[in-house]
Amino acid sequence: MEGLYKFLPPFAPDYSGVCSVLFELGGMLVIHDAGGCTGNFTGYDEPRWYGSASAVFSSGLRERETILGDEEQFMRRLQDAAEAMKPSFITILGSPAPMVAGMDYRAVAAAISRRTRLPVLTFDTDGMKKYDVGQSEAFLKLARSFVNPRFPESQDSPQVNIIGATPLDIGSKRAIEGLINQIEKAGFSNISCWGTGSSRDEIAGAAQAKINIVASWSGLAAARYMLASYQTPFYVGIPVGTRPGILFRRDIRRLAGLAEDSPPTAVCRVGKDPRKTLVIGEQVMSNALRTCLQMDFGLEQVQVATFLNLDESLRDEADFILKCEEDLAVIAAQKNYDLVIGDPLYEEALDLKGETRFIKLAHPALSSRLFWDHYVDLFGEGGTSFFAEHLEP
Amino acid sequence: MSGQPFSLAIGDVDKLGPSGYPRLMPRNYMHYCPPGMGGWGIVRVGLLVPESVMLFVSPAACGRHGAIAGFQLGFKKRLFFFHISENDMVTGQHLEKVIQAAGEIINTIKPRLRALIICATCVDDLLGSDYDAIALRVEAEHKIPVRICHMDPITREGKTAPEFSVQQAVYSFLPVSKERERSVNIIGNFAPIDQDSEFHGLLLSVGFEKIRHIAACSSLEEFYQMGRSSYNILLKHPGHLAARDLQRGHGIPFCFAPPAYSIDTITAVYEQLGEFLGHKLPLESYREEALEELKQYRLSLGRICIAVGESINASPFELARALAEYGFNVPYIFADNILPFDKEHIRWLQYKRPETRVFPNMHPTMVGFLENSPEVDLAIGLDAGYYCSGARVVPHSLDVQPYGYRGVLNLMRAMVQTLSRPRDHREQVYASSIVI
Repeated sequence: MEGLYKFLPPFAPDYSGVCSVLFELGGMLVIHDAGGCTGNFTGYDEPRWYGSASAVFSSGLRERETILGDEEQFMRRLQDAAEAMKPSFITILGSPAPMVAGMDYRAVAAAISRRTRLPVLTFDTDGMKKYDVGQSEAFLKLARSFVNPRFPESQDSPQVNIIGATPLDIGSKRAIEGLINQIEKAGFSNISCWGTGSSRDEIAGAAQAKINIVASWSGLAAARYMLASYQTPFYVGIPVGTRPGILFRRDIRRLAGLAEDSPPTAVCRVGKDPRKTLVIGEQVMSNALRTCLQMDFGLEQVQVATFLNLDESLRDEADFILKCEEDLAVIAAQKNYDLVIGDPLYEEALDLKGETRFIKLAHPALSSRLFWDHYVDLFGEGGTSFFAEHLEP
Repeated sequence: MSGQPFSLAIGDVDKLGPSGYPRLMPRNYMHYCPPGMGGWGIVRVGLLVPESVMLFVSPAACGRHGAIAGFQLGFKKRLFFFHISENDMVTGQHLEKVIQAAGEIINTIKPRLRALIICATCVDDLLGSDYDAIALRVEAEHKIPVRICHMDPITREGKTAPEFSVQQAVYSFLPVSKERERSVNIIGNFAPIDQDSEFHGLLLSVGFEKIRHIAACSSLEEFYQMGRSSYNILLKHPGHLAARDLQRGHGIPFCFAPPAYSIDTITAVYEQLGEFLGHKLPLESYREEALEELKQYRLSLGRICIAVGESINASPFELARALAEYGFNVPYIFADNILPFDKEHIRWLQYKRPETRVFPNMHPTMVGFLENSPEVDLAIGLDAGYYCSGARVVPHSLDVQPYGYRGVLNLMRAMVQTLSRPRDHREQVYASSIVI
């Protein structure tokens, strides 16, 4: 039955996606909710929360206020908190309860901006969409609102922007450092990773970068906007595995207009492996895993499936969207995969039979704190080592 | 960002609201959610009903923390989610689909469930959805008891806040019984009283052989036996509405007898309980023994500095008072709520320890508290442990139920053990499965 979930928890919601992107930027993030939605993000979707001084608050919404549409109380609370906290900007996010009441966030934002003289970003999130939509909207809003083409160029201006790498998709800080390390190996410095590690100034100067690297579906809209507005080229993909790593470094150097370091002599396919494989997860990561399996191990039949958004331009013909939990067991039964790769929580829902091997690769946007401390080194040679261990007959 | 953490002198806390359920934080403020704050969520409390499963009906987001915490706690096979779509919510079709989803769970889950709890959330409160009618239809169709609970924090400051109403839902499964047994129920809390507590011996000494608690019941039938007990002993305030319902509907009177940590308060609670049960409880030997052991613990611990939080199995004010009486230095309390029971202890602290400062956990300025984290030796409660980052932390969680004189001694033992073998606080928080 569509909508009924017997095995899987809900994915991180849209408001968590927005908060994940804006978490480190020094703003005050206010989820207009009664407390539970904020607790979702802080306790279950944000591994950086513990020990952090980021100002993420619940508006403390109550029933009477919602029913009466008393937005003045909310605005007063927001104003008081802004006076106490002195943030550099304010972000207002919606949740299911005010969605029912049809709150006009833009009007509230305009009023708050007038009262506090601070920039106010709003997101009409409702807890019904998944985190990837929230992340995408947040990255796009950063590109539209914070990137300043007239920002003074300096030695510290970013050469590369990574857009789309958040703890919900890529995982721990260590994993994101692994990705940055691959880009550094390609000869770049001053790498600005939006949402994780980069400052507002780095984002303001983002139009000076030679290239944008899109690390998840969520980064696509912002990268397309940057191409249209500032002619910044973008590359979609992350380097999982040895051979894909070499190609990745060559391709981003080319796209950035830099000379070749050395010819990619090591890039050739290995012998064929007939095992039929399914990767379940976020599209850009799943594509990267597929490329590694194909180039480093010769697996030819690798499909990608996701509960999230799929961009047509990045999709192989056989890739598909999962609409509900039941789809997992249905496709597992119909397609007889030899290998399935995905978050550990998918395994039970797939109800795998016979010889199918399941390779666990946690996706924090699904399994949250259950596995977010389990670090796997995937970028560059790390990805090859990981699969070499798990693909052994 | 800036902002000096907001706090109150204990004397100012006493001036807040005259009664009821006042909050320490000024009403018109944003809420901060520090790591370590929270308790048992609605899902966990609802699933105390033996052989039950829960169908959680909500926009997808609302179920996330309950799901992950539930998976951590091993409830995966008893917890199901129906995600409402915007379309269905607007047209009201989701209510029909809830009935279908309940039917699918009842018909497909093996072994067949014995009881179903449907949990609705804030959006259905606002829409005025009639879940009681849904429960009646599912019951009639599938011949199993079905109850409704709500995880609706928008009602948190109302009379039927979710932590109260979920206990009403849980105990509403009990059938009315005309038979009365010489037994007592412990209600309002989430675990049976520790077996080593003198509580069991004291009640046995006045003829109560059977002490029942929902978490000790392995079957629905055993749980139903609670409807035959003569008395309810209410340990925690959120069980108050359930206790009142059982008094009105089942004729089982109740007495509020919260766990306490000051020897004098424990004695007073036991005396009140004895009056309620119609027997004087023979406390003296237990009291003397506890006082003797306490001396040893005080010597062993020394005059350490302790911070007390609210995510604990106690009233933070009563516990702070008890620790101060035992000679410890308790300069900081982290708490958001004041219950009627707290009042006399707040007054004691005001009179005897006026330097005590109280920090509301949820005040937005607490976001910067770690910048000047105070030096204390020991924190009791995961919330206090977070704010006092150098302290060793006794979680003192709700997962077990210390009680009486033995409860104090067990806490002292935990303090000694924690000082010698501290655990990583972050690990403690993430392993605890507490939810806001």
